[in-house]
Amino acid sequence: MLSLGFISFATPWALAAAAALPLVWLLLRLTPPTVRQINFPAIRLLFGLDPTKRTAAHTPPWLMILRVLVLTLALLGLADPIMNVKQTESDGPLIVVMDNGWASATQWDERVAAAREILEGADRRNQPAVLVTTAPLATPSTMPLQMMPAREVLAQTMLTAPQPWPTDRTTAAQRLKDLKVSGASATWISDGVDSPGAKELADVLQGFGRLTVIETSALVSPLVQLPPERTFGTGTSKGIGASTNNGINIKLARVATTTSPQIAHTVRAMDAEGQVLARALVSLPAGSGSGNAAMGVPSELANRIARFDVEGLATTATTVLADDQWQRRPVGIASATATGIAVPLLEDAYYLREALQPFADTRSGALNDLLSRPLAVLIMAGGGKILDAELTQVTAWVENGGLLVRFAGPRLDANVDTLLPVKLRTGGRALGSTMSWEVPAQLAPFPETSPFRGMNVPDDVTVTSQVLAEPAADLISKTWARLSDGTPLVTAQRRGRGWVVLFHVTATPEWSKLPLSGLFVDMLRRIVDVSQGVPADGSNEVTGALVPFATLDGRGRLSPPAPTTISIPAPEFAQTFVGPKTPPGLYGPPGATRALNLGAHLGELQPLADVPLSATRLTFNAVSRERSFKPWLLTAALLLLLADLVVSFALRRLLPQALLGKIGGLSNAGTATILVLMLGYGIPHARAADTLAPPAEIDANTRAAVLETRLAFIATGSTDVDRVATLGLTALTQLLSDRTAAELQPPTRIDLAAPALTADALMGYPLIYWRVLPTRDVPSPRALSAVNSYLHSGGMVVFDAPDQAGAIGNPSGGGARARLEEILTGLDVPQLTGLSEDHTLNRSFYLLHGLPGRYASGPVQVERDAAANDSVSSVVIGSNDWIAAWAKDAQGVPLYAVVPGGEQQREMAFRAGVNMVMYALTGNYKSDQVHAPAIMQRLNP
Amino acid sequence: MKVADKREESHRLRAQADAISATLPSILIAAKRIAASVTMGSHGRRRAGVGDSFWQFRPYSKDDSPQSIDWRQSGKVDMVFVREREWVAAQTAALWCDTSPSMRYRSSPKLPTKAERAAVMMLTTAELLTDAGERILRISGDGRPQRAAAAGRLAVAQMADALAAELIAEPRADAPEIPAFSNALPKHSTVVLFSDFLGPLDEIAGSVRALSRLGINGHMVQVLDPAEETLPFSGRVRFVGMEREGATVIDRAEEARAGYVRKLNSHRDGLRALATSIGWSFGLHHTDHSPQPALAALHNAITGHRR
Repeated sequence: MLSLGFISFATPWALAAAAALPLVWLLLRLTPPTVRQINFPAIRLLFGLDPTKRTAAHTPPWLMILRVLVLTLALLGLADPIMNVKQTESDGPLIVVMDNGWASATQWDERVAAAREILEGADRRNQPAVLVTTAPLATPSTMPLQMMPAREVLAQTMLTAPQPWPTDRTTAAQRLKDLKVSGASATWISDGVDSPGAKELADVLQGFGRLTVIETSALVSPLVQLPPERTFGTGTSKGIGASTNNGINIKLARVATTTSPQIAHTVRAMDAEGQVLARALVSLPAGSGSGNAAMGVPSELANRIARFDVEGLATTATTVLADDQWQRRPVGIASATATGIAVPLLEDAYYLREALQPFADTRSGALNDLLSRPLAVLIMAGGGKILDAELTQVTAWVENGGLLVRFAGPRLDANVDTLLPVKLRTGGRALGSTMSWEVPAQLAPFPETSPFRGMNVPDDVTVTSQVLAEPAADLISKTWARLSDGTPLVTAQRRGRGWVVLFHVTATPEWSKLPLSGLFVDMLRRIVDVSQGVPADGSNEVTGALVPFATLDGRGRLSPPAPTTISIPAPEFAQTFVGPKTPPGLYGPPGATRALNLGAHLGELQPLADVPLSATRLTFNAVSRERSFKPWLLTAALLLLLADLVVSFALRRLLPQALLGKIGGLSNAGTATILVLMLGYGIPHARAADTLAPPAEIDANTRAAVLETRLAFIATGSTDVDRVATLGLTALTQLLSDRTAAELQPPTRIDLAAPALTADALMGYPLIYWRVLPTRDVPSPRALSAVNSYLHSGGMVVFDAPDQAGAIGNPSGGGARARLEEILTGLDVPQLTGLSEDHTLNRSFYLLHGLPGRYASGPVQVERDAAANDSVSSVVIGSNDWIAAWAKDAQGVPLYAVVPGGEQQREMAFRAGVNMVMYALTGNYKSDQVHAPAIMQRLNP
Repeated sequence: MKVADKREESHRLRAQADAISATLPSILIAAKRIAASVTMGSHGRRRAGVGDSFWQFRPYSKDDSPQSIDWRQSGKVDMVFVREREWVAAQTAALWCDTSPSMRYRSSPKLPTKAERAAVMMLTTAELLTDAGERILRISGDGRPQRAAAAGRLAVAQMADALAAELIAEPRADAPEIPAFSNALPKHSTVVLFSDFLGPLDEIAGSVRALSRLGINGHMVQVLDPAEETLPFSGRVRFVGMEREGATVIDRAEEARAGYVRKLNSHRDGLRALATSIGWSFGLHHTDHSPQPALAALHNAITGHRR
């Protein structure tokens, strides 16, 4: 290794190659760029063309500098320069001890980086090494420690993770004692927290040779969150008024030294889904080992809390799990009528359940059933007596922290049993009854010592009956609420660790209006808050072994338990310490889990003290880093080499050709091709765009039909008939614009035989007139399907098939009707019926009696149950030869006489046409006219 | 294998030539349209002239040479008659296509080589001429007429075969830029020359003038690659001749472009002046263009000349 100041070269001989650099320079200088060769027939014309400018036959200087730079960087990189090499390192074996207990989770990455630094240096010097971790394993390794190449130890280090339990330095010291090496140096990457065996470990390490201890600085000393305490309402479980904090007390602890600065951390409470419910800023004063803060949380939210942790610190020690007992305040409602039929509004339990629903889990049932599971509050409504058999059980439960709430009732008058806060007088008291001159009493403001204090007393809560307490000296202190005349309404008494609370009224509105008021809900909430919850060490809990449910890893992440995790017997749970086999986490069956938290058992944290004075003590920041420049230099050389390649191609104008092959002179196409290649990913999109069909051109007829409303007729193939149809529809269109609001454009002729005929071509027309001729073939299936889709989408076709002799286009008569039937078999025409007198078609504009045309006698048929398409019949089938009646020549003279005759019939024929068009255009708009007589009759009784 | 190649190449060339000639009016049709005097081929020209068939007797005038007097006829009557023969324009067209190495050039794989294009144009011309009843004759690469002049589609087929053989054969690099044309060509025939005419101007002038001196009328069609017209190269390029002319290195081809184009134009002006001086026509064709316009111009030149 060659050292030049703070830079050393691991393989200095590579630098010798630098001597060849001037030679390279010379060679580069002398090698002219190569020439492109082109065969060219018209070479004679090129002879003697004076080159206007002679380009340098030499490489441009900047390119040479670039190339020499590439070589220099590559050489330097190969020489492997390293900064900050530790000059004084011995070459003996290296022992690395890493604390990986809970406290190491802070600054874990720095720890690994420090270990990596040390081991990489050892690898360069080919020192053997060994890694010892101090956190115990669930299954302790029986393998003796063994020196290994540093590179393997490095890989081992990368796999190490912080564990969620404390270190066991004694065992580590024992293992190290068996290691037989000499001339070794030791490094202890410590978590800075004192523990039993720390001194022993330090001594053993000191015994090997030089010892370096790397510690976390005081600024980031490991932090522990103690399990928070919940405070309720005006008091904690310890007594009324002991604390005014309404919420949760958060406590953080750390290793305190005199140099500890003031720090502040945010503790957040989250529910099971990870939603943050509340935050509290906890400040640890300088030099102090702990800090408190209150987290204000409404009790509904507090019940949902599943976990507390410190923001920004993913460590187990700062994570506290809240178990089901934290969250739940199960309230049992023991009702006399629990087994009977529940009668809403009359049953006590009904009012209690309704009042408790918003904030507590309620259970109803017999006393025995209720007490068989954890319960925070037991409410006995109905004022019944507690049977002697159950009295012992309930009393024990109350003594253990249960809160018993009783309500008065007709049967609770004398001293029924011992579980009452006050002595009751025999006989109740009725106020405001017919026999009493006293008015119903109102509530007095709540006493200062009451958990209800500060709540507003509404005026409308009145009490008509109550049970009375015997006057006693301590009655005042036992009273939580009283009436305006001073008689107690709610009394409470402490029994052991629990409470007995008595409402002197019933839980039904029978005696008072209290159960009907919002105050009742608030009072119950305060009472439930007063209860201490399901006791953590009570007798009424899950017995047997608590199976691990989920455990925390070293980073405070909750995950399924490892196979090595063991169950904890329920009685021993409170005394169980966190260890490899019992990591922190949740134990027990789902719904009744209990949390084993690291912070609960850690005690006071002490700084690591017992390190031999001769050892070097460093913090992470003070560890000097060795830096190898090799990868950077080689990368830079490679990048410059690529740049040189591009430059060379550009200089030789080979960029397009190099990629394209020999396409002489077509550089434009080449460039385009390259662009396409470079944007290759864009090609599929371009193709996709190509495959999209261009919008079809709309033919002129369809466009005209869509832009302006107009009538249409089906070409018959007979010139005469088509002419008559054109003239007839034109005359009708003229008449429509004269007499109605329908101003249509000149009619169109539709050729069903046209090859381009589609359903779209028909869509634009409101009405299509189809004159059926026996001489004309049935249209092709394609044309019929177009007509079908026209009919389905709301079109209307008027079929006219006159069979009369002398009808235009059919002078001999007959056959048209038969041909029409043939056509209709190809069409989707619904059931038909004759045109009734009151059909909308007879009413849509004129009031008509039938639809005459040139002939008046022909029957007209329409759809029978026209429900779709605005109840407009899709077909109108007749044989009256309407167009012949409508047709007029240029002078306005009718072309054909109507039969049986008279201009009256022609007028009716025109009116029939007007009605048809208006029917097609307006739909059922005029169908009300059909019912007009009935409507008028109703209006004029 | 060689024979198969040749046949294939021949078929290919003829197919192309047929396709092109189908789009051009045959010379006969053109002739009908222009004038009766344009009617060509072995038909009599309906006027006195050089020919074998009798046309008419006419009285001797003093400009006539005494040899032209028909004594037998003159002896019958008391006048001196001159026997005139019908002018038969039994024209022979001699066609030449340059197949030298420089003609094998193309600047892009998408384009045909100059030789291919020239061969197609030559066969098209042959097709048109034989359709019109003319006799055609191919001048081979060394300047000699190949076979005797022949008429009909068979002649075109034979010409295509021979031309294909010449195109397939490895070009001789030492061949002259333009051959010294044999003076065995039929007198008063028409010559059509397809070449790039990029050789030295005086060599070309020598060959062409020699033909002209034989009384041969001719047409020159210059076939060029677009790259030869524009010199689309740039950068440092070493240009190598294809017929042992040597090589030259141009440092910046893009800057030599203007000078090159100038020289090419002056060279072409020289060719044009040469053609004009001996009454020939000169046409230009680029291989990236369709051959029809150039052929139409050539067609006009041939028929127009007859007029």
